[in-house]
Amino acid sequence: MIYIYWFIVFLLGISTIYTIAPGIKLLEKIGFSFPIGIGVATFIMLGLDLAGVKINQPKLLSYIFLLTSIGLGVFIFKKHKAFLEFDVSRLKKIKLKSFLPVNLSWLLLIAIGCYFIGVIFKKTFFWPVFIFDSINGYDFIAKTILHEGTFNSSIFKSSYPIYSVRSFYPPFIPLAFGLSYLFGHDSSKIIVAIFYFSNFIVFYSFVRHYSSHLAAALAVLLFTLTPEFAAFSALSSPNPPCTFFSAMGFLGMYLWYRNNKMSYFYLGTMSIILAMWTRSEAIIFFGAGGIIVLAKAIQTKQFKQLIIYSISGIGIFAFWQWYLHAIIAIENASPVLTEVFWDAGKLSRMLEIVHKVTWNTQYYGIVFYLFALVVILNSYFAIKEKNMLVFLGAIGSAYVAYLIIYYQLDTDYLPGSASWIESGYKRGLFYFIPIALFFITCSKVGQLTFNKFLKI
Amino acid sequence: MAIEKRTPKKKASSGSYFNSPSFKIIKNVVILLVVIVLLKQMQKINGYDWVTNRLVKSNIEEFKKYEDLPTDKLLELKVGFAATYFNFLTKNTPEDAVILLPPRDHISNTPKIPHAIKKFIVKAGYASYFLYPRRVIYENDAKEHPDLYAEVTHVAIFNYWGYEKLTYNMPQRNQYTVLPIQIPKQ
Repeated sequence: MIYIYWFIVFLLGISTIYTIAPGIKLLEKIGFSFPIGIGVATFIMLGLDLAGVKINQPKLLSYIFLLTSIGLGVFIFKKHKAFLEFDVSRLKKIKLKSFLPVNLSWLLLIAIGCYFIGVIFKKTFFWPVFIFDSINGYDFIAKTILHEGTFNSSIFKSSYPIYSVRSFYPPFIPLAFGLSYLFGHDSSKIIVAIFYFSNFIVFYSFVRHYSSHLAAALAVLLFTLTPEFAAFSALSSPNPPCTFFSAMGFLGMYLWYRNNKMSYFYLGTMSIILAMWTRSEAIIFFGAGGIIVLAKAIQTKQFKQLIIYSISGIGIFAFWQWYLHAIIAIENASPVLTEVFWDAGKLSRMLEIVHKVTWNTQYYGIVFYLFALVVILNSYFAIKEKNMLVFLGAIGSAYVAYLIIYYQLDTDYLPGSASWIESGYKRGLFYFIPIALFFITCSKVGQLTFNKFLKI
Repeated sequence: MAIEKRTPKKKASSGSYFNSPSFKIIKNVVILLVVIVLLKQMQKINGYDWVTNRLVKSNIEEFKKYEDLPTDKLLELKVGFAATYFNFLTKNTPEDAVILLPPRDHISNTPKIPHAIKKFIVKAGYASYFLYPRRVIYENDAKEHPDLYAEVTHVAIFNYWGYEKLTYNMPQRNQYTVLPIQIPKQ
């Protein structure tokens, strides 16, 4: 029965993709299907919860998911049938000859990548949930959803509240974890495993838009081997899913900026919305995507996409804030100070810790060093041809906004204070890893290296 | 929305050595050798050394060593005594129980249990996760939550603490156990 439930979620995802983004590549459709399917499922679950329907009924949920998929399927056959036929015809045309000449380096990199992904995948399923953040937050709410049938469960009751600050994060992870329990899993880690795997499928295809298979394989391997990401991916954490939605959403928006295909705009927008549905700090990627949309709007003098994007992002953020205050009835849920202030000492101490964490190869390997090197090498093309300037501007702004969030936290960064940088910031940098690797492989320097110099 | 059309690949001009199959084979092998050398060098870098030699190897060893253990035993390997204790409480109380846990400082001062494990037992959110849907209340929180305290059905005996909370006498005393606060009706 578990497999039938997950097949229905897959159908929900793929039907949503064919509805909003039928023009993306087939590998991207496959890679996005489960994440988008789970995302849409969580929207439906919270909607039902608000309507007073118990959401711990797996058969009811699966019927609703299936009906939604069928409804979207009817729309797809009426309006987007050509895209479906195109994908099927592409699949039929795949021949062994199309994989020649065989790139030995590609084979080696893919083999090593698959090996490491396999080990992390097995580790994800092997150990039960034990990390504090999940036990005191996401997985706990998931278990209350399973038992009580509502997100607004007894743990939020003021008579004896046992929620934590993690309970106020947007609801994607607890709802997704709850879905896995409803389907019959003993552990919610299937969700993390799905996103971990989806990261690499979609990222490979995105890199292939501008660079070679060898570049894509190398980028995926470096992504897999990023030490802190590899360590954290097997845990019950929201960071791998948020990495997927944030990074692939941003890259999707950039692909739309370059290739003008509306499918990537809608896909990117939906991913970024789901990132904000996962963790509030993903708002920095809403801002980064907004810079790309604004740049496009100024170039084309068309503002429809800017309006759609803005309403979607602000809407999802505002909805969750309303839910926290009106339904959960929690005030002061965030540790972020809202008043603007200047504290040079705090900033200096914070940046010192940021520097130590960001450039530590124990956490991120050589990714950010390579990124910095390619930014410098590519600067000639950035100035001459404006190569990926909007990309760098948008992601640079996102990073600055990320630092501002940590500056605004209610801490002084003195020794002995809460280790926000060594925990939250460190994991939040995961979202920037695939973006940095995309720049390394797809900038002009990367393209010259992989598409010309290293081409077989 | 337009369907993307593939542009046909340009055929290589004939007669050029750099486009010949033999050169492509040599280039293929040379690039492979360079990639192997780079990967070997990369393995020496701090973080990648840890991923390949510690994370992956230690996990493979653990998979082989613990593959037959059930989930609750795997949890005890990660969380230690806290998991053992909470598993015991779960198995010996009904789902609608309200469990009284000892004062937090009593737990913290208990010898022979590592501090890293005690911190899980003293946190209401952590204890509640393992014992859910049972509810828990610490002795420290009695005055703050008198209604829940009044609903207590079971007392968690922790390092001999808790016998005084029972409404009956218990001549045989264990260091760790869980007992109903009132004598169960027969």
